[in-house]
Amino acid sequence: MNLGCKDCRPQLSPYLEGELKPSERESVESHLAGCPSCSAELSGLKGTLVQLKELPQPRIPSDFRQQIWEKIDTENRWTRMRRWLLEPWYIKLPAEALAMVAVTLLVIQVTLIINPRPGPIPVVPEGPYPTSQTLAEVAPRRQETSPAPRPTLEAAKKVSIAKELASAEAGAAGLVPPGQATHIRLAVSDLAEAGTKLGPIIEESHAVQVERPTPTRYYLVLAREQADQFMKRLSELGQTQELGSTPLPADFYQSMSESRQRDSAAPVTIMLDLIQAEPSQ
Amino acid sequence: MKKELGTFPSEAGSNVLKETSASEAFTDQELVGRAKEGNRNAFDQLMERHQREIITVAYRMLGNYDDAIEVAQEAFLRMYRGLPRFREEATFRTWAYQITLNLARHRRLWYARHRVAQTISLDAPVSDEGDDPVYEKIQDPAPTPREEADRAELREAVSGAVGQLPLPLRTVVVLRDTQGLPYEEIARICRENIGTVKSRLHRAREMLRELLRGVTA
Repeated sequence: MNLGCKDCRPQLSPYLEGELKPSERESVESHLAGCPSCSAELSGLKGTLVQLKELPQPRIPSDFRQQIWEKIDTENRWTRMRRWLLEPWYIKLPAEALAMVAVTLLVIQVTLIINPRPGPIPVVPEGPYPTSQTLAEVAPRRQETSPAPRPTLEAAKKVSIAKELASAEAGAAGLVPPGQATHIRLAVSDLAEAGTKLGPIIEESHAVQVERPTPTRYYLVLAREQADQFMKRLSELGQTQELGSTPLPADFYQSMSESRQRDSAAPVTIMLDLIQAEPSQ
Repeated sequence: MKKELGTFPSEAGSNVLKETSASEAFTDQELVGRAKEGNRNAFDQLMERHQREIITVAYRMLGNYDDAIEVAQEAFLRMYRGLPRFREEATFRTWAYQITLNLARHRRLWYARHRVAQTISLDAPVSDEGDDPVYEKIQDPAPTPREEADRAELREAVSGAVGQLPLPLRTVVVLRDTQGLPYEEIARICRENIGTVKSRLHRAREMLRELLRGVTA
């Protein structure tokens, strides 16, 4: 049978391997004898096979086997240690018990860090306290628990925790959103007199005057159950107007956390403004 | 005469491995038997005997020297771990090739997944000065610079073409045409029948010729 080049080419590799039947072999050879192109292809294929055979071999690193033994030995050591630790029951059981206790303690510790129990949180203030009687009462206790007068990194952390607490509690009480205070305006006929009368009202309502940034502005925190009583007493001084909530100043929470030492109930935060009532016509 | 293997130093830190000049006296099967009994020297001799072809086949499959060394070491580690389960239905060499090719295949898949550029060339230029970090110096009867340049070019072209073959074809070409293994062993290594191996080999060679058209006369 006469082969064409197209049929001959795929036969060249089997031809070289001696895999062709005698008749196929004869056909290929007869084609090759008359086809320079396929002959050239055959010698090209032979050349390629020689090249493949002669590709240089990669170098063997001098420490090739040593590295393998080191890996084997490392692995063996770990296996032995694991067996030693875990296989005999009299070691395995106590080890597992210890591990469980350790994990439990760790979980408790982490839980406490994330969500500390309510209680007094000593805070080192960043600057002088506003002059108010209530805070003056708090100040000595603060100094007992925290003698360092200057702010420290730890103090900063506590301030941050106190902020979160105050914010969370106020939010939980459902009275004011975190970071907000109820803004109340009290219109009085005599500002000086109202200021004087306000002191006893604050006292009686067990409220804490956290700050008095201006002579007529009071930041107060009081227990939720005292809120109605407080508002009633305020209305005796003048006309009260509730203006909704207002954002608290940035340093408010620091002082607020101090007040928690006196009153740990969910607080109501109030920003009270005294204003001069317009004279009646 | 009774053949003695000697004892292998027991722990890591035995930096100098015993040269095993008499290792040729043992068959792979004998060494495997002793290695299974815990004789480290026997396994070391198996590694010494097969390390070159294992590194070479890993390198031919991956085209990257560092990866090839890593794969070859991992292959020997797996052999050591797997010795107790090695049932010797195949020869140690067949088993070693199977493990190595499997690891190389996974490494190539990893390349593909992580879009690592695969080195096409299997054969960086050989340094006759012996300073090439990859290749050992080839003993050659003093070729002229021109001949050497032509040879290097051709070698690079051939290697590059092998690197472009699909994995199954490449595997067969590497095992047959660079490693010189018989069909039967290639079939066992690839877990294919001989007919498939032959057909893959001839297809691979045809593809190589197409890729090298114009390079080799």
